[in-house]
Amino acid sequence: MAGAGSILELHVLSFGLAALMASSFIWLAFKSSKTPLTLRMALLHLGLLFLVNLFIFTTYIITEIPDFFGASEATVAALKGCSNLLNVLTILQIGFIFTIFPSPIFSNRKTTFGIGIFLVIILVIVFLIVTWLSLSIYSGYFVWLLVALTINGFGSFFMVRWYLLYRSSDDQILRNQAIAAPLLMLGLLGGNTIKWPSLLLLGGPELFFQGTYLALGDGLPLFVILMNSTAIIMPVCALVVVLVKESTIQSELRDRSLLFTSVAFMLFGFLNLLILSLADSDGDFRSLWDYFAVIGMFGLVRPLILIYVALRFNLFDINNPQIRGKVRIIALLLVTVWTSSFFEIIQAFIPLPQLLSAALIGVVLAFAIGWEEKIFEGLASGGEKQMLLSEDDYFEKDDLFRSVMIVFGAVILYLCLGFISGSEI
Amino acid sequence: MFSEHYQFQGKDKEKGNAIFMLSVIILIAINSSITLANYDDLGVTAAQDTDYSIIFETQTVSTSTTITLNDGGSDTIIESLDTNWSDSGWMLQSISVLVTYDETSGLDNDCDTVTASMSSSASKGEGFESEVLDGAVSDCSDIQLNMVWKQPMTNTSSSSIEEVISQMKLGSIPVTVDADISLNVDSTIPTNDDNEQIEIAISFELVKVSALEPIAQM
Repeated sequence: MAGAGSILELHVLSFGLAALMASSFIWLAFKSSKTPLTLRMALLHLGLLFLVNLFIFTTYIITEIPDFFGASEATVAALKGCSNLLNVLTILQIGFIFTIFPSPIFSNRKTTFGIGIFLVIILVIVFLIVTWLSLSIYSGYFVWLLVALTINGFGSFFMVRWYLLYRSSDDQILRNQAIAAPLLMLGLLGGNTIKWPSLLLLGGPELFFQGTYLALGDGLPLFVILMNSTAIIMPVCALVVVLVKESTIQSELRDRSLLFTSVAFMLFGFLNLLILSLADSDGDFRSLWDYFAVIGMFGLVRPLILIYVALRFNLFDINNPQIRGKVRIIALLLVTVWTSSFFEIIQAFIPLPQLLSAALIGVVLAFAIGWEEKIFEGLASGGEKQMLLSEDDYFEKDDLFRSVMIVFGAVILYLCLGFISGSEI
Repeated sequence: MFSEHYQFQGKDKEKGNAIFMLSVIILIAINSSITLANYDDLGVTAAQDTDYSIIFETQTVSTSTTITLNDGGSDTIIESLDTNWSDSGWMLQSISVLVTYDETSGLDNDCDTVTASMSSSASKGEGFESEVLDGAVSDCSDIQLNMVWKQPMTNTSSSSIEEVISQMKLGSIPVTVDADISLNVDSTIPTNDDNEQIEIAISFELVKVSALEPIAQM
């Protein structure tokens, strides 16, 4: 079985995928002048989310092979602190996206930004208090859990509310809102939803802790166990709601893609449970699986779902010939990198000869390129339709640029805090 | 506060959301109750004294010097570690002095007598284990001198690196080591065996606490 080498290669491929996603989404958000501003803001923030992921994968790669980059132990420790804090930043970004997509949930722009800034200030204060006043190694994890709990909770609730309010609506646009919301939730919180069997194993913390860097062991505080499991229960419940509703809704209203995605998450969760039950908990296979189940979710599955959401709900102006031409190139690049990443994961568990692996990648790419043309023709025919609610005067046009600068500023701030905290968090 | 489509939509439309919220709260309550009830059986209570394993870094700082002595001659080699090392968290595990030489006489094979002794400014303290401070050989074998502190603890109940470091009973830095070497030529042939070369290697074995890891017990 492959080990560290495969993990490094997955990081490098995920880095490439994040770079492509970030650059294309940000570029499209600025270029799609005919698209409603609320949707462009959502697309931009999805791009900025991938941008922060890009920094995270960079730290992963450097800490994986420090000798290659000439990084000292102190640098590696500081970079680990940075990656942990940048992960916290991505959760905050996810929280912000949930408030503006499928359409803003707050009445005006000031409330949206005000609540966001308030949350960031509270987080920084909590971070400073727990880091500087407490020396417990769980204090940093407390910050992470606090943010995850808040965002997972509110994010799941916001998205499920859109879904339950408008899934059976007579208005097609409102129904689209109800479909887009859970798709976004699965894209952003999908790693948590695969732990749905935990609903059958309440009080059993092993599944809840899968993929986290803390192992269950002596001294693990009760609050860590409770906060961690609570942060997972909420998105898991949201998945169950979507599964039940999509399975029972009238056939003319059924959305195949949402049903397929939620069933895929359910099946992956079942497979995950099987592996947790059958594989040796201390074995190489189990540790590799835990790693891929978590990193693979946000490195590979998230981009796939978010591309689908962006294409299906017209988050950019596909009918603009300049945009369309470049998007096709980006799509081909994404398909290539994604396919390579997928086979990298397969190879980690089932060592295939290089020749066979290359042949399989070639076959998949041939089909993907064919489908890509059909998908674009289909999209072009419905590219001008309004798919989601939009308010042109909700955001100001300059908010696009301001958002980029705010996220850059936040990345610098979090890198500083990461270097301060070292690997303690 | 909320947008038009996200405001309260009436009891009928909100029924599904209310059921969802209630279900989530009930599930969280059940999960928390079961976890609380089973907390002692999960192997996660701090019942044992040892909760963390201490992760160490080690490093050896060595210098090697070759001196030339005449019959009856002596020399002193001095090596030291300054406060930069202690500022970086390093502590002294052992000091060793290795003296090596060969018989260079061309006319007889009688080895010379080399005498070596060491002294150090390091305070021994509670954790000191053993020392060999002087030695002499006349058969061309090596002389090994050392000062050794006990191996540090590998587990602790403390979660603070600073507290763990304060509990370490190792040698302190800065430290200076003096190694005195003298030579007596044993050759029976006058002026046959002079300018003897002797190599002195002084090593400091250092350790540093780099991290604390919770001890897993699945």
